[in-house]
Amino acid sequence: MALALVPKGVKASVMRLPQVHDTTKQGLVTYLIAVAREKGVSAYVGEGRNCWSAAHVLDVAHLYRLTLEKHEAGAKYHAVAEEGVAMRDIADAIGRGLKVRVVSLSPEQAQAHFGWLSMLASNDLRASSVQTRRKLGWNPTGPGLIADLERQSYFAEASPSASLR
Amino acid sequence: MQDKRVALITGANQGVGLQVAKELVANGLSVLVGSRNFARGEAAAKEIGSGAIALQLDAIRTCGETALDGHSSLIF
Repeated sequence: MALALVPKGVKASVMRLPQVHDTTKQGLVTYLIAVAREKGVSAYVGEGRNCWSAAHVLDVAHLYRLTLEKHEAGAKYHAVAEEGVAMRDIADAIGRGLKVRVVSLSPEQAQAHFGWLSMLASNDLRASSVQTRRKLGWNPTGPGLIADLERQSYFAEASPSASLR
Repeated sequence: MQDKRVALITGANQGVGLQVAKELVANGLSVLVGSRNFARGEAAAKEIGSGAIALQLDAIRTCGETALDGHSSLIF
């Protein structure tokens, strides 16, 4: 939609976001944490080798600035710092954080466990940012998704609770 | 005429929007901190510092209303 404005002279570009994280929120991973908390078990599908890409919120903010400074109309950027973090590793980190078991689920079981998230939890959402880095000179420095999950306080009263809806 | 660059950021009171606002203000831009809730926008603007100004803005609703303008026969 935004790119439809480019021929009219609007310098629009598109930023595709992965799981953007800090130690309080991690995109869809925040909902995985909510599911694990509710079910008392942290899960992945199959061998958990499907991956989600991720980037730290400060790296993403920096990339937005670089994008504005470059003014390349019609460009599409991938704000990806980590191309693929395995769902098994994400589930392990959540399990350690919440102190709950980590289990592998079949695709059928995943539907019941994850609800609306099951399709996404089963998918490989890997993306590359090679072109974005090259075009804009973006060099994300992290920390990584797992590092933020390790440092998150899972039981703090003030931590934002993600509703499942 | 003032030649200082100004950015309008929707959803700038939290998450990515808030960090982008901080990044731009730190680099000399003025930022209009768009937020659906004005109090939260003001709190964010205060946190970001001088150069940030809160603005009550519901981008989704505004876009939706604009898109629906002239299509009053639509039934929800």
